[in-house]
Amino acid sequence: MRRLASFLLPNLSVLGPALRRHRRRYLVGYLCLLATNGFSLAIPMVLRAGVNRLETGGTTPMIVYGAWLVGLAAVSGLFRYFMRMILIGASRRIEYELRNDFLGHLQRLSLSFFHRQKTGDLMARATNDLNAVRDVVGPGIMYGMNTVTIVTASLILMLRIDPWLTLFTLLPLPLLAFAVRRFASEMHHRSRAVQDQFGRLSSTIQENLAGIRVVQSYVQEPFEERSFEEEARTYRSLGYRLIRYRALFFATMGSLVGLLMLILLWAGGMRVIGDQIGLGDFVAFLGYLGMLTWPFIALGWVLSLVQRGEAAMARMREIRERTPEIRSPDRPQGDPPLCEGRIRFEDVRFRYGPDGPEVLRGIDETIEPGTTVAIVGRTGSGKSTLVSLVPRLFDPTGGAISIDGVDVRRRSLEELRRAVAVVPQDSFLFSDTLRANLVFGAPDAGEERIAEALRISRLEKDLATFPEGLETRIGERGITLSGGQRQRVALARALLADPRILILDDAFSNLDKITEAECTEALGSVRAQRTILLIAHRISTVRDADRILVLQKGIVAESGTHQELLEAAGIYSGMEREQRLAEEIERASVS
Amino acid sequence: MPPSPEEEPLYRKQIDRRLLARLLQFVRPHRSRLILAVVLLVLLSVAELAFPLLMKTGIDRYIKTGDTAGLLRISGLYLGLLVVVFVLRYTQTTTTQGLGQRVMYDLRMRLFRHVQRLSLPYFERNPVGRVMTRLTNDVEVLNELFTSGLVSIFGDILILVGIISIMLYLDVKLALACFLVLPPLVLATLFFRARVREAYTVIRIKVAGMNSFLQEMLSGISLVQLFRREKASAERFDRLNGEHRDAFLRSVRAYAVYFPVVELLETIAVALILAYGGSRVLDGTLTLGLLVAFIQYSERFFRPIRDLSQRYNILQGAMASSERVFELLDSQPRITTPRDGRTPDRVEGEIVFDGVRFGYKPDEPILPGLSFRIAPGESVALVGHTGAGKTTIASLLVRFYDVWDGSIRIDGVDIRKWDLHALRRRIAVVPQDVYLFSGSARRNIGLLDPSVSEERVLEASRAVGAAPFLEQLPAGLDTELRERGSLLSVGQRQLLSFARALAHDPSVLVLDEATSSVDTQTELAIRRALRVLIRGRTSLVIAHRLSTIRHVDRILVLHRGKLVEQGTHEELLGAGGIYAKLYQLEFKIQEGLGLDEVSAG
Repeated sequence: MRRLASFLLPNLSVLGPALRRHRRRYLVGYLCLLATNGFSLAIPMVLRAGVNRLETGGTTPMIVYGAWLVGLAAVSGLFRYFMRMILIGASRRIEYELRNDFLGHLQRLSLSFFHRQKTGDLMARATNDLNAVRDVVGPGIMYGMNTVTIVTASLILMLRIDPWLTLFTLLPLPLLAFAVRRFASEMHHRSRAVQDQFGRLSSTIQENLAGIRVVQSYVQEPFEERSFEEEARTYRSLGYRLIRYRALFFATMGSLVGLLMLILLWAGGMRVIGDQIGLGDFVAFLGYLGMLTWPFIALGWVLSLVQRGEAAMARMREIRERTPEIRSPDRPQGDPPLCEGRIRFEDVRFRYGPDGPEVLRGIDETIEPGTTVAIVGRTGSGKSTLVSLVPRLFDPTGGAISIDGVDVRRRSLEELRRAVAVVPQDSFLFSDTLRANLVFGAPDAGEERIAEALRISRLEKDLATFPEGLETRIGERGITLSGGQRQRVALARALLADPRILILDDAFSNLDKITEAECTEALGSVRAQRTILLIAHRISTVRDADRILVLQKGIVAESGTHQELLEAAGIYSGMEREQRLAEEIERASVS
Repeated sequence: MPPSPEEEPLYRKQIDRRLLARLLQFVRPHRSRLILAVVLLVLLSVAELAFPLLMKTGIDRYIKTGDTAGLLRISGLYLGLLVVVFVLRYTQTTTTQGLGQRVMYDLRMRLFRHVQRLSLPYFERNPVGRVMTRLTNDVEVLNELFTSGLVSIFGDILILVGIISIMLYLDVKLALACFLVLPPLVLATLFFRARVREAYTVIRIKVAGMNSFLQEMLSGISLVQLFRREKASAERFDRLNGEHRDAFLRSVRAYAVYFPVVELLETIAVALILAYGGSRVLDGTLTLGLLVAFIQYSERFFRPIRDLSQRYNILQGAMASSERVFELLDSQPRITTPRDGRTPDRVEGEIVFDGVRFGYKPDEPILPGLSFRIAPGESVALVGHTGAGKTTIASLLVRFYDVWDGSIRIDGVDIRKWDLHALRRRIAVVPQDVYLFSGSARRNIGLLDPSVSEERVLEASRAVGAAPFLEQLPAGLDTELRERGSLLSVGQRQLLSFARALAHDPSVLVLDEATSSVDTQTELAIRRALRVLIRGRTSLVIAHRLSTIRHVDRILVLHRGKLVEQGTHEELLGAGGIYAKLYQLEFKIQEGLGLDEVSAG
């Protein structure tokens, strides 16, 4: 059974464990389904008895039949209620579990994965695709069970009356199985074509909107419209193609019971006339076939649900079964422990994609514990890439990075990342309270430490202006922070994590000069205990560093102290002059 | 910062008649199809009613009497009906769904055309993703309304009216007895709808919460990982996810209660008919056949009622989408082409900025009053610091924005009096960031313009020096380029963008030089291409590097949106003002970077 499932539905069959976890729910739900069907079945019997009583006479008052009907319907309804609650409820619970799993797994995947994957696409998988899967384990299973049960029950009942007639009447059913398979695969192709075209349509729109400046300034609107029209027309005609086929399928399913009835009418009628069965048997047969009408229609619907779910599950599996590229080693090396913060880059090379250009082309440097090393260089020289290798956001494609003598890839990810804190370029903050953002890396930081971090990052004054102090919500549903404020919050967040190694990736770019100077000065108090890597553009920010590395096109072109580099009269001194001149011009033109 | 999730009304309280009326406007061109679909639906329901009748006749007339020939005849009739129903059902489905496809197509085309006309500020306010959703998902949701909703609602109402009439015609008293269950049914439905609506409101809020959490987490994934917050954020998601589940379970409960209640009420109706009608049968005031018929009709009476309450939900879902779609359709382009706009055959290319005041935010003018004139055929470079408003000038020339005050004139005519398309067709802007469409290099140079011939594309790419590297691509000029494709370097993309401008042969060229640095060879190629581009047309070069503009006729120096110096390179150097300083600065940097040979060459 399991093997058959994995053969027919290779993707959905991975849901096996989830279904097994809820097997009691499905079992009880199924029992309720049986009960509700059983009681519903009794209703027409009472009705018939009532009509018979009118026809043949009797003493039972009619109201009694009425009362029976209502009673049966009430009990059946009660079970139907439980059936829905239990079976549909189970699917909602499975959906919840799957979604949690999905997110948990997503979080472990490496940054390079997220660079390749669009956020929108991942979200679509966590919502639309998951919903499609849930529809299979909910309504899909419920109506599937119902169909199987009713078909089996009526089959047994019919066989008991007349095996021959049963066989005859159900003759078209194997044909149905064959047709369903054919239909299913063709329908799959056709709906796939529609989905693909929908994708093309979407990307046509997306590109047009993203390039609207080009479109409008070159007056390309009519041609863009024409090309869109073509895509939209193709989408429509593919839609027709699918619709026609689907209509054929549903019409067939809908007429199927009619066909069975037709066979019964003729073949059964002949058998009644030939006296092989009684008229009562014929009528009973008719009733049982009638029971099949809705289940057969539901069957078509269930099949299309399953098919959609299968495709959706395939998309989910693409993510669920991807192993994170960067993960803790199985047996991490914890000796010597990471407590000093000496970083060693050994011929570090890096490229973002297998065919991308080499961004780092052999970096060989040692950063002594407790020192502050600044990294400068033009955009694209590889500064951010270099520092992102330290906490293993990426792994180098060549060479190695070790901290305190152990390759970062052999340390536990937990230990490594606890020791390293980053203030990123974009100073991303979460829409949450200011406090939650501050203690992001140190959930149990006390008030004292928070106050200290606020002091160093010069946030105290800003805090006084926030309506609810530390509990003020920032971001989407809260107040908007200025670029400078965001950077300082990000700095405080990193400081609170109390790292051995602090990485400041152009973290002061939005601060005005005075605030920056204040921050740099305040940072002095924590400098001695930490190794600091500092990326910056302003000379004023880096001049006090113990050492300055000048990166150019992926290699260290110059290194030394501010003074040494100035004397060397190379790139760094050029940058210094550039900035000095720019300031002069600014002053000159203002005056 | 990640784009914030859409702020949208979470749900609408009522089904808005006005919105519905507007939606129906889109059906109007296809109304014959709509009518056909409804008629087919009614025919289908009627035809289906005939099956039990045929069966009954077969039993009573032929099987009971042993008339095999008659049985064969009635079986043939049954088969015929089966075929008719099959065809009806097939046609009904294709007609209805086809209607949906047609309306969707119309709506999409209408939206797309509308969006093309919207002005740039709209796109700055509305992220691409949001506008895209209007044209994709929202339209699909409306399709649901047209296919599963509209036709069925009309059909259901017609069937309901038909059955009520038949029941009343057959026996008024019995019909009224049956209708006794209607008040509780209506009450139950109203109650159910309120509960479901409540539940769905909560669900939508939870879904939105979950989505924005996901979106934010994915945007800040590196921080989550760096600060080892995977567990904490999973716990938080678990809470949102759990609330979402619970909200859904409440809606499941509403449905789980509603359906059995309706069934119960239906059975009560049957019980009423049986008890009351039965006693009348015993009285002799009612025939048994009529009683049986009534029971059958009562079953058919409830089905459309049940369906209608379901369709209501579809209708409600469509309301939110249609509101968003209409909001887009109602947003008017700020910049429109004037009536009887100027469309000259020839453009000389004289450009005059006359006291131009402009800014992106009210009260923050970037250009506080800029005036200058460029003679036809002259090439002029604009230099100045970042933020001096240079790029803005390009956007103003093609009317991406309109000036606050003053005017811009081309060939002596205010550009607001020009036909917008004629104006833009004569001016080519080469923007800082080159946008590549996915498609071949050819498509990217010629765009989709059929008036740009193959030869022109080739010529242009040769002229700007893009041909050598384009021809080296795997499939030459037919190689598929992608938006973020790594096939071309930044400099090569620049050259491709030059070729694009040249192929469209503008009278006025505005070149917004890219700020990003390129390698020396490309730098040289760009300089060469620039010389080709500006030859013989009015050109405005917005320069970020001074080395590229030695060949222009005149240089304008902007500072804080004002013209502070102008003249030739030599004149300005001699004056010793800002330009001289800027030049000195850049020269020094190049010296530092070892680029001297380049500027010498």
